[in-house]
Amino acid sequence: MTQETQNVLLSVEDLRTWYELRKWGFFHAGYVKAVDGVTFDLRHGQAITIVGESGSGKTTLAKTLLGLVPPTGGRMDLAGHRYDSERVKWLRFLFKQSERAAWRNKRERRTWIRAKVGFVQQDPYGALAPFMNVRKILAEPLTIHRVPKHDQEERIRAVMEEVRLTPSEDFINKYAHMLSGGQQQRLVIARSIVLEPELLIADEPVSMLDASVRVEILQLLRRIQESHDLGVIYITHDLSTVRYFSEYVFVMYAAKLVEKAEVSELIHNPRHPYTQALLTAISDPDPDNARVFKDVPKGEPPSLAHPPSGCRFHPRCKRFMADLCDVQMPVSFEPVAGHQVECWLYR
Amino acid sequence: MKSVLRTLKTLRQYPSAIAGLAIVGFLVGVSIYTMIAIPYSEAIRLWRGGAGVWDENPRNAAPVWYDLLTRDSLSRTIKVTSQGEGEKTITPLGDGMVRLQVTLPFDFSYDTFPSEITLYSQATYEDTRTKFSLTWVRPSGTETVLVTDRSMRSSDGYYISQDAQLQTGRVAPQIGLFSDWSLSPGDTDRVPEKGRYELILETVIPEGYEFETKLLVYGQIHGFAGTDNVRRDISVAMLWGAPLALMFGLLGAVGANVTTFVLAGIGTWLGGFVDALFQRLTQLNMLLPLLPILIMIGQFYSRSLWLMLGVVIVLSVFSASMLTYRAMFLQAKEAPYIEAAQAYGASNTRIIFKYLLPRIVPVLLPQFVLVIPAFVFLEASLAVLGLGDPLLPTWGKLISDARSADALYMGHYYWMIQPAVALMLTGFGFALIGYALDRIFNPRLRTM
Repeated sequence: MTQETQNVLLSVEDLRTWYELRKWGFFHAGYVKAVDGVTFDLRHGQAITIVGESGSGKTTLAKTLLGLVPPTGGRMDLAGHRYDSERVKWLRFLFKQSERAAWRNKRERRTWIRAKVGFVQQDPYGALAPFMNVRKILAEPLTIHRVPKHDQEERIRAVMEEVRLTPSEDFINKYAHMLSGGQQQRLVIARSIVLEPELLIADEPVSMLDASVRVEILQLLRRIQESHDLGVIYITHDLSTVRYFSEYVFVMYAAKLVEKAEVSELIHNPRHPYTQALLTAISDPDPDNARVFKDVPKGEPPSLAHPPSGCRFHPRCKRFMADLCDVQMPVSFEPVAGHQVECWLYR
Repeated sequence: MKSVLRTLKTLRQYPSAIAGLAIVGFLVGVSIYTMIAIPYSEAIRLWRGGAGVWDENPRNAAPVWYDLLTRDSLSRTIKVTSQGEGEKTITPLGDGMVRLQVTLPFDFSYDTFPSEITLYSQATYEDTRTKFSLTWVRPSGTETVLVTDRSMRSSDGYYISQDAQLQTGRVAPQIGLFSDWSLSPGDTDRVPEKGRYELILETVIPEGYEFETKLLVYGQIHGFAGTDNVRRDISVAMLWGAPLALMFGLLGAVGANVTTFVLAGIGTWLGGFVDALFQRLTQLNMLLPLLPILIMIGQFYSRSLWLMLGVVIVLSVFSASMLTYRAMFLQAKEAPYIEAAQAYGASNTRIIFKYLLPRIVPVLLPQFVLVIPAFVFLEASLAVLGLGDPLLPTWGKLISDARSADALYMGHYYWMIQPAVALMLTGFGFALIGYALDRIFNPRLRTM
């Protein structure tokens, strides 16, 4: 157990990210709870997938972990360093010396975290500044983290080799719009690993790519993960790409992780009714599908500003149990070792 | 830097842009030449110098290019001095006095009469009034005695063309003296006699003293831009107007537009309090009337060009374009590459200046180029409103002077047209470049 705790790269406990809703610009009018009580551990070199529909809070979770959005509550530890909600308090920063020192320390902590976490975005073209060439794009993170100029070039060539943007001479002076979609995404991956992070967060990295390059990109990510012993959080809405990648799958529904299991376990024995529905919805290229009616859950994902009481899936659930599911929030059950599910069916 | 060079290369594809660049290049060339050839202090001297500086210029003379438009060759100013072409004969009279005869010869070969004739004299003796007589000799040999025994101070000017005694009928002295003397006073249809004229001055002065004299036969054309009603050479203002206009336009555009741009970027990125503050300032500032404020400052404080520029810049930093830029930045700041930059630790300053601003520069650049002439015109408008710099020779000041002297009514149209054309040319040049840049940076216009 001790060894396992030592091995933990990212530890998240009861993480909440709520966006405040305001009426007329200043009256408090409730929260949109985009991430609400997420708990998980990620070990060094472990790849996990977070799967969920649009609006389930996946991207907010990613942004919170990256420190782009301040969390409302909970705890995040990256390799033993905690990073919490922090806001730059403008005026106080301007006037108080002690505040300034404290802020500077916080900033240092934050840049440290940012060097340790890489980010691969969904839209590769949008993720690359249109007015920078490849060299500049890759040099920016290095410059920000004060890597000397003469070491930068070497590092840039190395990552370009790694993501197979070779020969690097052909690409290094090009602009993003001169590259194909696959090349752009490889460049985004190169940028995310140029600081040699320990954790990579990939937010739907292939959803905007042609089907032909998806597998290639996922295999590239997998190869990089293995060769650098990276922890990877792969966020997707598409269960069919999961198996290329990770050992563990978390299913996210309405700001919560409702099921956590190993990939094969989850695919063969889905426990949560929502996971079961998701798996049914996967489209395989099978001609029979044309005649089969898929039993997808009725209704729409719930509003995060006013989530349903009790289990958030209960209004769409086929195995809804009255007076339990709609009243009490389900706790985590472990029907099989290593397979956690938040559903009253497994109490 | 590379992208700027690339853009300049693309500009070559647009003939209008080449024309615009040529105009602006010409203006820049003129400015550089002017600042080297006529240093600032010299320009101020020539512009504000007073009567002594402008004595040798004709009054209200047309520019020399006007000669090309007329069939007759227009007279130019002729200056003969006793030290130069003149001949001095000194005959001693005894009693410490000498008789001095000065002959001032000059060739006159123009088809029109001179505008004025003046004789200046300068002697080293003081307090003594002497008498002199003048004889005018025409090419045909006829002589006219202008004055006899006219008394003269040591430093004096005799305005021959204004001497009423020399006027014959309705024929002014300068016409009578340059035309056939045998014509009757009623005959006003005269042509100048061409050839060698002489003015012979005879006087008696104390021995051992110097006496110099200078004859000015003012022409009808002068310099490439003509002169105004106080004999000031308009070309000084035409030349110095170029660097001043460019400087005012450029400083105004940089000061107001670029500052607005940067502040809009900062406000939009930081959001919250800063953004709100900038927006409120903009809304407040848009209510302030620029022109009345400038008029008040001009009336009560100073009309210095640079002060006006400063006030204009300060008042246009938080202008309506702030809101336009803000709208663009609000869109640009949501770009994923900026989120990525935050994720790899870029500071706010870096994000604003390296990620946010460069994105909008292509939109700014054509606007920036188009704003330059707007500021040049603003300077002219201020001058016409009477808020022009009292010291500096600017195009706007020329228009203002011409207007107050009723130049168009009096027929001195060149006085007003020349600076107006210069202003329009400047605007035209920058507009051509600006619209070409707009077409390059805004691809939607390309197909149209």
